[in-house]
Amino acid sequence: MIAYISCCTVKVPQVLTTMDKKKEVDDMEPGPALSRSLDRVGFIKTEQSNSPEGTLKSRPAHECGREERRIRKWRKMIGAGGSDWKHYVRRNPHVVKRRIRKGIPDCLRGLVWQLISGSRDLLLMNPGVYETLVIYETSTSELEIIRDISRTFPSHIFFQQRHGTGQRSLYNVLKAYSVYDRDVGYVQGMGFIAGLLLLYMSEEDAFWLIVALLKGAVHAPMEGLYQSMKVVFQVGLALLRFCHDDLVKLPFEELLHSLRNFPDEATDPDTLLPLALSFKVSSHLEELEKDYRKRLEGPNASSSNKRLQPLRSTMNGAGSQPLSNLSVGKK
Amino acid sequence: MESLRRRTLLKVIVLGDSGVGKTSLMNQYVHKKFSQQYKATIGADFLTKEVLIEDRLVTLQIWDTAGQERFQSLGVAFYRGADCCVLVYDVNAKRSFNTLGTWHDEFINQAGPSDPKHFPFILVGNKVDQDAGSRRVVPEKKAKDWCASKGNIPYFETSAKDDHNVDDAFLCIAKLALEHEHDQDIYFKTVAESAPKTEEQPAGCAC
Repeated sequence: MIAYISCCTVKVPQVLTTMDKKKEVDDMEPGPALSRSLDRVGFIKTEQSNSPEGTLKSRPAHECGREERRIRKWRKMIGAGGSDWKHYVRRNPHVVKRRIRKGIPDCLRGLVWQLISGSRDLLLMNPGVYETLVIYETSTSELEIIRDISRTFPSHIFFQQRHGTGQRSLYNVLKAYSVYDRDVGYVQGMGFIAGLLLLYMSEEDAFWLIVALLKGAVHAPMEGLYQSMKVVFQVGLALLRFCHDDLVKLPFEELLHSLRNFPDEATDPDTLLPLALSFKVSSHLEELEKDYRKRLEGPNASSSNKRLQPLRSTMNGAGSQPLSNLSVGKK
Repeated sequence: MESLRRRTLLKVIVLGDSGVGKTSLMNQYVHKKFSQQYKATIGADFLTKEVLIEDRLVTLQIWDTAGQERFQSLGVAFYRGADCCVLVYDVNAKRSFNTLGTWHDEFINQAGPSDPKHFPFILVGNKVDQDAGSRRVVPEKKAKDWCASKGNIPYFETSAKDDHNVDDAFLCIAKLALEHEHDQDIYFKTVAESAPKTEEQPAGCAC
């Protein structure tokens, strides 16, 4: 069994993601250059960055003020350690929804994600479980996980150091999950989700959040607000719409590159999200899904369809209910 | 005449276990770069490279795939229309050699080429540089025997890190694919317009 025991109960520092940190970086900007320049979220910048002026440009003063007001509102809504959250959501679901869509302040995301997903409850109901999974359990996926650790966010400052805090935490969380949910085990790509979460919260918190995301929490605490896959489609459609004119001009070879490197203007949340939410994902998608499944299971279906089964069950088991949820958006 | 010659697009699929160096091989070949910082490939990705083979301008569209077993079910979408397939294993990892048969058969099953017995494959044993070969567990002979058993598919030992043999391997697969395509052209000759004379190049390397 392989475990990085030393760090399984250590709270991972909130690296680089809090507002305070941002300010620090901003303050440093006019001074001597950083030894290695990082972008806003901690990736080491390459020379051919999308925006030549960098993403560290300081915000105008009025935006800072707005951000501070937003944080104050959020803190009030959450209460100390999340104590007022459930009450608030029950009483004012639409306010919560609106505020989430405007953007959860970066410094509160770690906590708010745990509240929204219900992972906080899982954590409180299962004291000591994470520690046991990390220290005492053995996973058949250990080698597979290790092989991917250094290949997960390799250019991020937190995960870069071999056997550093970031890599150790990432390993522990992934291993713990592969033991906790042996049917799913470890799937390549999970590391990028776990890695993102670890930038915002402790190992144990991140673990239970992954559990909540993939298996679902006890009660969906935000029933009616939680829209699972729908928003994924909306954001995807918004990106395509935003870049439509450029994309259609491209030859196939360049298309893939462009689809992975959207320009900064396209991914600016203040323009992207309103555009995304303006799309009505209707029940038509549900019909398309039925059609697709029929075709897959139809008489002409080859043996390869059976092979899709394991993956599909993984995806379905992944908490994000199949596309049937898409019809939620009745406006 | 030169400018009139049509460009040929060849779709190359790179397969093999996770971590054997598929992405690295591709990037070494296309960009002449090696990085320790590749991300694990999720799903699939591709790069293109133009090569001149026997006076013919060929665009290789090289598809890199995720190596984890459970992503194999996505194969069908990526394998469709493939002209050739590069199987990769790590000479220092026995398992990656043992699974080659599965990758080979899965490819044939899912891509469904019209002539599976003669579909162009090559085998690449990567990471020969590692610890100066002291950690090597798959002997060259064993790999060559395997190739012989699969209908004499060409074998290359490479180091994506040191750029050893990478060009040769990809050039070989491109030539094989072109020959294969040519064979098929002849097969359909009666339907299609007759093949231009210029394609009848004398054998041998023009580059």
